[in-house]
Amino acid sequence: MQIHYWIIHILIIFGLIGGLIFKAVTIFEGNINKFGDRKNISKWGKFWHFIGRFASNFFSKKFWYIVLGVFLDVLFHFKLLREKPLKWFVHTLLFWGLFLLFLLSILSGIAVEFAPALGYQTGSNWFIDMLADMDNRWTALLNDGLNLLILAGVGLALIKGFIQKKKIRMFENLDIFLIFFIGFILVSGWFTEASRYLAEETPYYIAKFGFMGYWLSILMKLISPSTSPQVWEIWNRSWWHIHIITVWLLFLYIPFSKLSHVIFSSIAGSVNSLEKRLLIKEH
Amino acid sequence: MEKTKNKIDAKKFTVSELLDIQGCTRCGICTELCCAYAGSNDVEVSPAKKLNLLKKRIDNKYSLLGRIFGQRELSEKELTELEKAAFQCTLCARCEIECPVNLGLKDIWFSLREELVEEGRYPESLDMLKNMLVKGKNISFETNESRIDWINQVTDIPENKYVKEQAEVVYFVGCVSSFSPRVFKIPRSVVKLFQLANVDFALMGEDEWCCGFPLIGAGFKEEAMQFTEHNIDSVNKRGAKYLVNSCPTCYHAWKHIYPEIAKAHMDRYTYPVPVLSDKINFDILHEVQFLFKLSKEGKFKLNPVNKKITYHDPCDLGRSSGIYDEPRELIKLIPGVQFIELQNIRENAKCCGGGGDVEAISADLSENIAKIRVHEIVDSGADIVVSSCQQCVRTIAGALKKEKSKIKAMDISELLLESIEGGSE
Repeated sequence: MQIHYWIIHILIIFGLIGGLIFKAVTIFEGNINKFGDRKNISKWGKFWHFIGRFASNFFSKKFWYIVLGVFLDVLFHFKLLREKPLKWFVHTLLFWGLFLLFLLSILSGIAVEFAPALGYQTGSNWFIDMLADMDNRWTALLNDGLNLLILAGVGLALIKGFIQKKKIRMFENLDIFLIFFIGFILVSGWFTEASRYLAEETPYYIAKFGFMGYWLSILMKLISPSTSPQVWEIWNRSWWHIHIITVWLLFLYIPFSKLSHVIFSSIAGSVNSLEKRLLIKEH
Repeated sequence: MEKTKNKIDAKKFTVSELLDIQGCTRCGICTELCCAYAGSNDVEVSPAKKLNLLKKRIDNKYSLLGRIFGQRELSEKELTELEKAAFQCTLCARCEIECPVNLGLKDIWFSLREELVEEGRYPESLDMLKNMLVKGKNISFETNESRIDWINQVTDIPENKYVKEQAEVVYFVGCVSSFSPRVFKIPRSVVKLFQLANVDFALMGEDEWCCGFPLIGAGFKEEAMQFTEHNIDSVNKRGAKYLVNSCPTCYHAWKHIYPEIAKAHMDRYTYPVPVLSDKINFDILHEVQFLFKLSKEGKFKLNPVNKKITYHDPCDLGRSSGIYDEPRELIKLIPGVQFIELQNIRENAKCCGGGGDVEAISADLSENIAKIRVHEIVDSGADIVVSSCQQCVRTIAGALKKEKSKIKAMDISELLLESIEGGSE
């Protein structure tokens, strides 16, 4: 990847962190105690107070309650599974799909960009080789499989949202926009992959593992059989840019969208589940 | 009551509450289970809608544009909806229990009420409640001197009516039991049980002030502070080892809220206040815990009560304080009892509609919520519904009467006394 993409990547990450800090500043406007604080405490003071409180819990027997809370209530949402299995299923498809895809992208980025720079020789480690090769059957399968999970989650979320009793529907226009936004990122990714297969004339036995892109490439070829690989290359570059720009925009939008709950509810859920487990233990 | 706008202040909330507000996933589960929603069929009073409006209001003020150009206020319609939702809530905390991400919603509802009170956006009936409490130190129209008038019907009472300067146990009766004739039976039963078990106990008489929770629940936190200090001092000067509450709300206030107040900013006040948390040198118990302890010690001889009995979990004893087992075990200690569980129990128990000052704000809503719980009680096939809360007993008994049901609602102390005094066929 060219250097300017890396610069934008880093700026976007700063933007994401900046957005989260901006939201966090509002959170630290609050008091520490329910009945007000003894004196005016600065936001930094409050921040360090909570870090200290977290550390004192983390390095104590309560550590296991934190671990339990993170696994049961944040990562796997057992409470949601017990109460609303369908909702849990949709959430699981979306959360784990996006999370694993994000993880795969980071690992692939490291394998492609950083490993060689650190003196890595191709062929020394199958896992790094696999991650670095987009046409590797496992990488392609995993990528498209996760895409499919997210698509299923997006579809079910929309259907569920619209068939839910209108009165108690919590969908807002911005949520629908966000779902379409994520859907568009997925679709633009398939177009990028499909046009790459067509531009590189990737043989069937390799391309079939990236099944979403592969089927789409067949469809594109059927619609426009005479388009040359050079033209598909232009399509590929265009779609890649569209794809990456929408991903960047999504990252910047996260702190101000419904997706911010991934960060805030994870922290709140862990802290609150610790307190609730301690209350249960007390009795 | 003058309404002012553009006043939302994040400082009315805690850091944890503001984090929770941002953490809401808007899954809507809380709405489906909210008793205020079930009782009103009005989605505007649901927790999810309420939280959403609150979040929108905070985000409007503290967004980048809000910080530069000033807060964009919600429309008057939205503000009215927020006020309605904030005060038509029984504070039962079912939303908090059901929240898949464990958000601490009950605390947010308290702070929201406080914030709205500050803005002058609250039902007028709460002004009356506040005045009664601030002037009379209780939630009735009576003077506080008549706090133990109910004891006159108890036999074998000493001349001092148990208002003593020193005792091992202080019995904190609570306002509803002290002033509502419909539930006078509860403190009378407790006193008789204490007499039977030879407990060295004292009543505080007019020295007992409201626990302050109705003020906190209504959004008047500041006004509640003096009640905390007075009550702690009054119990301390009697040298008590135990403080026993009949009322789950008083118990919750003593056990969980007083320490919070104590560790907060007491030095804001003009009068000298020592660190209150150091002054709570006694065990705080609910009557059900104390009576269970006495029963286990063999202080009571229990006779059979051959009835089908079910138990209604009070919100402040169950969800807010985690006490579920003692009342059930105490009922099961009585021979002959056929214990039946209701459909929704323990942390999933439905509210009776008597909490959160809703009775004073919207009596119809309170009645509708009670009706839903009463249908569950009727469906259980029980002869008696027992609770450990005078407000629940009062609300459920009223709703049962309206439904023309023959099921009897009573407090656990009444049931225990009935068993001791000969049981029933």
